[in-house]
Amino acid sequence: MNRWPFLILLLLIVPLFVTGCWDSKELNSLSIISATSIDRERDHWVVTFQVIIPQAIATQTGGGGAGSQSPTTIFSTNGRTIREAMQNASLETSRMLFFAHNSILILSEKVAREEGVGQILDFFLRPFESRETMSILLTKGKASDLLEVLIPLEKISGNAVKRVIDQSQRNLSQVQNIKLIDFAARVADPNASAMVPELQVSGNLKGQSSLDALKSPRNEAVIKLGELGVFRRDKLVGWLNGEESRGVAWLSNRVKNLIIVYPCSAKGGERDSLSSFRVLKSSTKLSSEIQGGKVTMKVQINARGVLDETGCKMDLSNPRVIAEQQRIIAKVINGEVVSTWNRLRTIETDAPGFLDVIHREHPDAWKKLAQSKHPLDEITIRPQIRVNIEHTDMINKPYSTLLEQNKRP
Amino acid sequence: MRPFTKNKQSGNPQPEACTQRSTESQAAETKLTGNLDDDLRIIKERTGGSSDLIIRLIDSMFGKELRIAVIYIEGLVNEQVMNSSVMPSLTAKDFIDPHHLAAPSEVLGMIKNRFLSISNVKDVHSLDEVLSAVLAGNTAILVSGATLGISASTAGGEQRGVNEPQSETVIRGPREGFTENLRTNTALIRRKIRNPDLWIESRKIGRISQTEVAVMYLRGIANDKVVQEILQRLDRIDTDSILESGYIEEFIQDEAFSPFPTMTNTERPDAIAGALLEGKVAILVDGSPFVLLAPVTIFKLFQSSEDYYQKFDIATFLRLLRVISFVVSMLLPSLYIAITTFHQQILPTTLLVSLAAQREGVPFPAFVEALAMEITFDVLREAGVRMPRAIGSAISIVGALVLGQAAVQAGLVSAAMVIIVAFTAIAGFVAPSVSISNSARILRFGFMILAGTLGLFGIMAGLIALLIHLCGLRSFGIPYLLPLAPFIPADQKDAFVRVPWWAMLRRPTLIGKKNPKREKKFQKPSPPKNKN
Repeated sequence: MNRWPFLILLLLIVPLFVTGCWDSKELNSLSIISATSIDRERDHWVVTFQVIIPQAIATQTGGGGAGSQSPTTIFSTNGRTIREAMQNASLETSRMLFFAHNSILILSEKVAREEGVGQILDFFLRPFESRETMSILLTKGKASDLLEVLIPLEKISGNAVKRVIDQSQRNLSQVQNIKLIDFAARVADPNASAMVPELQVSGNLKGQSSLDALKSPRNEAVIKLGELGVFRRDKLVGWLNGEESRGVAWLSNRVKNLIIVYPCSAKGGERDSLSSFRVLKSSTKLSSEIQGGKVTMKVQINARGVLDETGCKMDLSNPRVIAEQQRIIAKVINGEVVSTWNRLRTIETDAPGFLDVIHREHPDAWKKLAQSKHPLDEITIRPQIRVNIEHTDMINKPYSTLLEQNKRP
Repeated sequence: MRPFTKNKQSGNPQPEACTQRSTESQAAETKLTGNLDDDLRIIKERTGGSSDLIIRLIDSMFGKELRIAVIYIEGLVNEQVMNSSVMPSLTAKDFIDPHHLAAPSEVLGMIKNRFLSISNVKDVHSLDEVLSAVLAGNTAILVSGATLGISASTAGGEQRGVNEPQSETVIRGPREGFTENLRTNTALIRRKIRNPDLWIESRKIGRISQTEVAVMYLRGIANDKVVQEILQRLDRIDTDSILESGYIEEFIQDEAFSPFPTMTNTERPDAIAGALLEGKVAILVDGSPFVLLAPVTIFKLFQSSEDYYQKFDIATFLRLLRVISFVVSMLLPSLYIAITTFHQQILPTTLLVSLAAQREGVPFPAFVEALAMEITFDVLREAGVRMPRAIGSAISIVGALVLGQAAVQAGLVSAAMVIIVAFTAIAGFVAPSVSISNSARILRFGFMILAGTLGLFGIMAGLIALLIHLCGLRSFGIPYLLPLAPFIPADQKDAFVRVPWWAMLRRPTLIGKKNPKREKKFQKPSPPKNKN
């Protein structure tokens, strides 16, 4: 019986020595950060925070003064290290910076190209309160500008950007949400290279960073996802445009939902009508072959989907027509894959992880390749693409055939 | 002066040595003298000439020398029985042979065996017996010259009838509840179990109050050791009065300083009957409609008697709901404190922002805010219980409007906190037993302090300490966490879930192990098998 008080005391004392989410802090003493950007100015890091103003977001509470207030506020600090920059932030904020809800991290192209991301990753992986699931984004201009843009429908723009990425990743396989932890893993992987989507502002930035912007139905500027930045080790080496980022998606077996636009006939010109094929399910298999010292990558793509839209005049109930369409689609995919591969070779990044495949299947060949200065140049690819149009949705014949039939004599 | 204690109901000899000793020492000095005037004078002296003690002297038809005294207390006896059965038998003339002079003891025997039309009649030998019989509502009849008297059972008087229990209401199930009268209560139970094996052992406890306490159990099902243990603990009680069963509970429970009750109480005879059939023991106290039940395990406290009357599926759902509600009412405010002051990172951003917006402008830390609101609620609750019905509506207006809405609008309390406190309060009322909801009510504050100082670690530490405590707790030798720790697979049928009645084949293992078989197997209803 008299062991009890000691036991309870022990249970209370033990947690004191357990490090972790310790120390109490009241909610109204925190400034909740929703987005962070990192720029470089001369020899200083410039860290910019987007801080949520809770009163402005949750209306109808005792806080008062909601509605006319900007939902977020932004402040920048600089320092020789990132931590120093953050330390300096406490000189100008009344509240403690709270990083656990930071959902995006925007790096400027300058930082990524010149400084590399090594130190940034180290900084964000180290403290317990930073989230490894935050999304990494690149921008070509000043990263802090992006935090100023107000996004219609959304109040916390940091979260909104994250939702834009999530949403477009679902509907458009070329976009990929790169989490901090995945990014760190890809950067460290010698046989792969990291890719990070670009975030850009199109339009008049100044106009969209004032609250008045939300009063008009048309936005002066919008934030949108753009190209794909490709890293070699921890440095940015180049950008892939839309078509090329689709090619990367094909090569790295990431296509889940993608629209392929193709002409009516194989040799169709620009004026030809176009059709859309929606990929529902696709798989890409990579395998390597060695023939006489030459390495060949076999890229087997098997795409299944739906014919979603057509402007062509053809009889879709005829299996031969369908087969013809499948051939054209395969050719379009093939084009994307080949041009992407050529681009990747020029910037010398192995985004789809070809070397990884070779390392696994032919370790000897990989050893030779690894010593080569430009290993990607010694690889040729052989795409084998099979497309299967599973159905044509609710109608069979193209609508244009109706116009054709019912023409007045 | 220690009064006489007597085992009234059972034929068992009294196991208590101390009671017997007092019997012997008392008997010597208070024997009926046979001198009626002396005896009556002593009785009057002993009662201080209280105005409700009625002594009626009747000149007997056997002669002036043979007087009969009828002693009773007004209000404790049934006047109708007095007037129609007791008095006529003493005053009637037609059966008397006036020439035959009988000895006083013979007269007494005649009254007892021939005239008195009262079914329950006993001999009394001492003044103390006379007094205790009279104080129990019986009528004592003394005859001058006789050294013994008669006690006739005439108990009655004004009493509350059998009503629907106030504290435990059910939708489906019997509507009768216990009353303040012990006999009514034992009868209510006997009506449900018509079996000679339903035994009652009585004790008189309380040096001054002389309260009758009855221990009821089903012989052959109840564990004899538990019965003996309960009787021994009852005999050990030496106090001046037992005014309610709560006195007994505190005297005989296993762990004096546990927040959890190791005995439960109920107002429902059907709940007692069900428990007796599982092998438990009921303790009834005269003057209290709350009957104690032991031994009890923690899961029993989450069970309502209605669970057994409703379909098993909904009963199971409700049981799980009650366990969850108990946890909620114990932990919700502390979890809120811990999460909003220590672990903000585990909330989704939008929820955190909306909570932060509500906290904006609140001048107190979350812990102080929660503590103040919880105490406010307990004040409101206590006020609601104690105050007269007529001003009942005032409390809801003051409580809901002034303390809830106005506090939020004034920015003193965040709206989320009001929601938390309200939900905690409602969750606390789900428990079918008041005693278990009171445990949560006390523990809640402890957990809030732990959460305010150590966050979730504190809550976990508290929960671990609580678990250790519960594992060590016993109720009359039965582990408190019974079907779980020790784990008894067969008893899971009636812990978190309630299986259909045709599957409830055995009684609880440790409690009813003397006679485990409850019913025949294979009674699951199924469509008749047609051969054609």
